[in-house]
Amino acid sequence: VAGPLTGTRVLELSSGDFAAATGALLGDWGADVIKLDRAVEPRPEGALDSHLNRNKRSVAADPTTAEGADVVRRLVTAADVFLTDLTPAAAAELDLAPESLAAYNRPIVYARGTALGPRGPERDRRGDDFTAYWARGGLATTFQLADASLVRPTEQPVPGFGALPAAAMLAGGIAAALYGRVRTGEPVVVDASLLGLAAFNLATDVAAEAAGPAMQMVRADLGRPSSPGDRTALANALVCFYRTGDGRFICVNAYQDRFFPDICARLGRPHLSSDPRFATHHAREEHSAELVRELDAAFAQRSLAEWARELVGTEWVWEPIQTLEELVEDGQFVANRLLLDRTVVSGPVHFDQRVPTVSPAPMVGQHTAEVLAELEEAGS
Amino acid sequence: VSPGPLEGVRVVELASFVFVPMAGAILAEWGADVIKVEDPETGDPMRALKVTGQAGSKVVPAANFQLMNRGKRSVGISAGSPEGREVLYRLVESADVFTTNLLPSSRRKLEIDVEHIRRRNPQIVYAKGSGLGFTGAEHARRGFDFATYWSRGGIAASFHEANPSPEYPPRQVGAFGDFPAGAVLASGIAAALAGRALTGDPSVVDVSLLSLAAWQVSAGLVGADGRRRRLILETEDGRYLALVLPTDDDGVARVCADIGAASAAELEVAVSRRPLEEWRSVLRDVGWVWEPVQTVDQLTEDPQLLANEYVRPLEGADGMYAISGPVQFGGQPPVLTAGPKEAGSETDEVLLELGYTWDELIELKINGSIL
Repeated sequence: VAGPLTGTRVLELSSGDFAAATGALLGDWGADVIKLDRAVEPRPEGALDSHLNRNKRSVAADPTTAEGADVVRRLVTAADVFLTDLTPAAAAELDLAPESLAAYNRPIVYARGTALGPRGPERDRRGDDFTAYWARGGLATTFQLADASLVRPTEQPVPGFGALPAAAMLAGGIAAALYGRVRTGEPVVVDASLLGLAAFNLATDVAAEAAGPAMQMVRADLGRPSSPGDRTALANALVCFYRTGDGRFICVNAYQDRFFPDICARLGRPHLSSDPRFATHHAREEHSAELVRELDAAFAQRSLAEWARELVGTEWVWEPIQTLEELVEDGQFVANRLLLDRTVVSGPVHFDQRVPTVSPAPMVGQHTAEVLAELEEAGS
Repeated sequence: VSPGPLEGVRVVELASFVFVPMAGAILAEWGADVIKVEDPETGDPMRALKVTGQAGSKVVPAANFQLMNRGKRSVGISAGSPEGREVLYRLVESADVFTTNLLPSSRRKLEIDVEHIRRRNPQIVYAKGSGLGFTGAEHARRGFDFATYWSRGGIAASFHEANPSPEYPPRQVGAFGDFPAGAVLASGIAAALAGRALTGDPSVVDVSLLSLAAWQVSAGLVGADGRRRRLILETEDGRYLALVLPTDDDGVARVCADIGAASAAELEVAVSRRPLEEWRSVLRDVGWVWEPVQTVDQLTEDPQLLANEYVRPLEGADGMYAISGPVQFGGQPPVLTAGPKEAGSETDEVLLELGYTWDELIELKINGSIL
């Protein structure tokens, strides 16, 4: 069964992960995504190419030549969406700015995924998620604050860590614009940026910073351990990582007070729940260092696998810290079909619990003749 | 300011905490009329929660609540009582979208599962935010982003591996997974609305904290490794440059020449010879990609952040700010308006719009069905 955007045609002209991933999701959601490959040489091969270019067709054309520009013009005329990571200046240079496309006969949704946003002095500055989101966007230093043993800005955990969620949001913005176009007949320009995602991702901190002291409760060193590995200054010992006997980690995420007796019982420390130091939320906050130490000692008694058996079915939330190798074997990951193929991971949204079909990433220009013939037929 | 593309769409939200309410805030930002249903006794527990940001900052609970409830109206309805549920169903009949974070057992108990909601409105888009997905042995298990997204979802371990620290993996606080999960749920809802407009068929939309984590680390899952080309190098004044080395030798040679290093191995030493401000002018027009590493304070003052107006004062809430989603329409920032000050602030207004009379409202208030 097809997805919600079936019948929609997207023309993608991209060079980075952000816009490519946006096109991949629109393809998963049912759109006919045509990737315009400018280069004559093949795209860099590798796992990301098949992951982020699934469910697309490729037309090879060079918009800097008269012949290529004509192909692009025909593709634009037949498209509902133009998706690109060209900066405003680069798009203007190729005569692919929003104003240029608006001159064609069809109301096209013009969607841009940029590094630093569509306005401002650096709107034409290029970047990827590592530079615009992770570094400039404040992520690298923010996570450093959470662990005193990290003496320098942190590395981004995996490539695409910012580009892929940004892509899901841009795809949603495009869908909203398509909805609006059905309703009003008018297309809009849709913009999303990696810097914008950074600010949104860190909204709690950015809002506190913007509002200033009047809106801040505490702007002290809360949450910042005083020495490497010191987790005892945390306000809530029940929202914390613990190390198991075999050197693995468990995340306890139990906000509600009513769970405390069960936590103590399951950990084989039932007396803790009646200990006056830990009897109330406030007391636990005051004695959080002691509680963390008590729970450290308890969790060290068993391996992660043993704890997983002991803690099965708890109403309070805990999870193991899983590696990516473990994640792909995770029962929920498997049951929800989050791996679509060896090199294709599902997008985060499901419609009617369906798993999208996957057609492999096209070779450059694989569908040039096919698509041009379709346009010819539709035009005649 | 032009209206958002979802102008005319009505969303009914029966959700608490951060993830699914953030979807409602984004839909409101995109133009929808979002009605938040809150329990008359407890309200959304988020109203009282203190949330700590990554950097240890805390905004007052009322300001924090606005981050994911801006732009909405609140109706106090006791969904557990038959009279209250009938009011909720009337609201559902007027809506295009229903969103919830309730666990499957609660949805069945309250009779707000897909079957019951669709019985009153067959065309409604039904959207669920969950921890662990819509199927599988643990799909009914409760989830929070720190445990489900950050820990189980492979992010903490990837982070720890990329940043070897002798001790624990870095913590995730401050709704780091919930915020994007909410925006992604809003995205799925927009696609479902577009699909309904194009074909007439509504969808059930699912997003889970686990599915977002899997998507976000997917480059690692498929074996892509770009880390070696991504460098963070310290400047003379203790700041840092983040740069991406090109994949080709000529490109690397250009980076080395621009920085004044004999080879890629000497980039670190070369970068440490000048302060950040000098690098800004030396590297201003290079063709390769780099940025300074910034703190949240510096980000909040960043000229690009200001020019694009991603951080905006909340209209109707003095002194509070909110951060828009990263998507903008028509080349303009959205207007961000304050959300409901209290649970049920707009009960009367919304129910009168629905056609209830004052007499009926008073009756419902007396028996505790509405606030």
